[in-house]
Amino acid sequence: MLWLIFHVGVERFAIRSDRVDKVLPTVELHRTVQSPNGLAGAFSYHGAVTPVIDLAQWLQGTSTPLRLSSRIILIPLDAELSGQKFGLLAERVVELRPIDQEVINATGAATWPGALALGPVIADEHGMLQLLDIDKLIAEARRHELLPVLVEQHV
Amino acid sequence: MNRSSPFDAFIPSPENPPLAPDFTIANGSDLPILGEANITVLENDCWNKIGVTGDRSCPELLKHVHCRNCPVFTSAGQRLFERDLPAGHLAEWTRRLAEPEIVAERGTVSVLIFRVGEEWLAIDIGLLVEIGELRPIHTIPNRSNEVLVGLVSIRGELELCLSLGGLLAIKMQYPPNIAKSAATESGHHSVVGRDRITARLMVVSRAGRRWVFQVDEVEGVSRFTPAELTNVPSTVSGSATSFAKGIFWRDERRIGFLDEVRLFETFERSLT
Repeated sequence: MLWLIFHVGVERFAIRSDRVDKVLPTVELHRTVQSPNGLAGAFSYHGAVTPVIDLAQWLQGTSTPLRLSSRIILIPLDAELSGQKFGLLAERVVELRPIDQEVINATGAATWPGALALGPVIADEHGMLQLLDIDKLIAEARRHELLPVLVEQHV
Repeated sequence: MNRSSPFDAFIPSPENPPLAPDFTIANGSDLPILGEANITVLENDCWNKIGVTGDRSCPELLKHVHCRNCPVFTSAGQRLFERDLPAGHLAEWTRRLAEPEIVAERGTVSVLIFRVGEEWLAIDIGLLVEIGELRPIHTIPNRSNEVLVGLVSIRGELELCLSLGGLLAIKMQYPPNIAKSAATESGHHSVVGRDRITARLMVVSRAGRRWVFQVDEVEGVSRFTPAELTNVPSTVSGSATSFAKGIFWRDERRIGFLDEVRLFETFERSLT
């Protein structure tokens, strides 16, 4: 399985590439009034209002710096890769790398019960790597009200 | 959904031209030369000093053969992105991503269009091996008939030459036997009267078998979408349409898209 490697602050993260739709450059984000901490804003992705979660702001309290390597990882909300998508704003999104399931099993992947349930942490030759479980991430994002509630709008 | 690579959005295309280049490629070298703007990002361009574009003294070259395989070069490349956004970058991508998505039509078929007599026909381009000038076709005593013309030498190999006109019962402009003698007499630039002969030999291949047949004219490659292909009208009769999967229109000409399975099965049968 290929994993997309990126950084949040100095920490390394990885996300399964088969749950990633596209990697997009950073765009201008519309900030909703009194938006929750961690929600960077929303943008129009080919006409669809797409929320973007700033992982650095959500997890570490500092906004992701806007550099060329900062990118929006576009992820469908369901595993079928259809329907609504959301973006993850992260730093140094520059690498795809294969990680074997055996490596994940062998390194004694760890999670902490009290921490935000995002997935296991493993160790590889470059250091520690937080594997993001997308379903858990979506569940946590919903719990923190980072994903919008779609309602019929009558203006 | 196109799932080829998550980095697709960065692959330049006519709709998606590249933004200002991060580096330039010098003549004869496939490694980046650092521009003024990038000096601060990459102080150590070792590939230009001890690497393949330098004096090649780097000991790592023994292991990696070329700098592009070296992790130092890879990480230097990744560091190129550790820069502030160029002016207009955010606004440009905001505008581009907000535009409606252009989805390419699926199931487009590429075909070669050619003419037999008065009929314009098309065959799946994947079947085509080559198009050649007319060559002498050697009839096979007691075997040649209106479908099997004879044997023809294509790059030194004898191939069976068949007649589409004979098979489809179309009167050809250049019947194989007449064009053959013209080709024999005047070589490649065969001329009948004042007109240059437009007839060509088409070599096609299907399921490992090669066939050669003569056509009166080769128009070129075109493509159509499934929606453009319509069924052959039931009021139209004749062999040419019964071998067609359907018809489509190009430049006000009706073109029959040949059913290669039926066509080649009939060719096979004509040999036995």
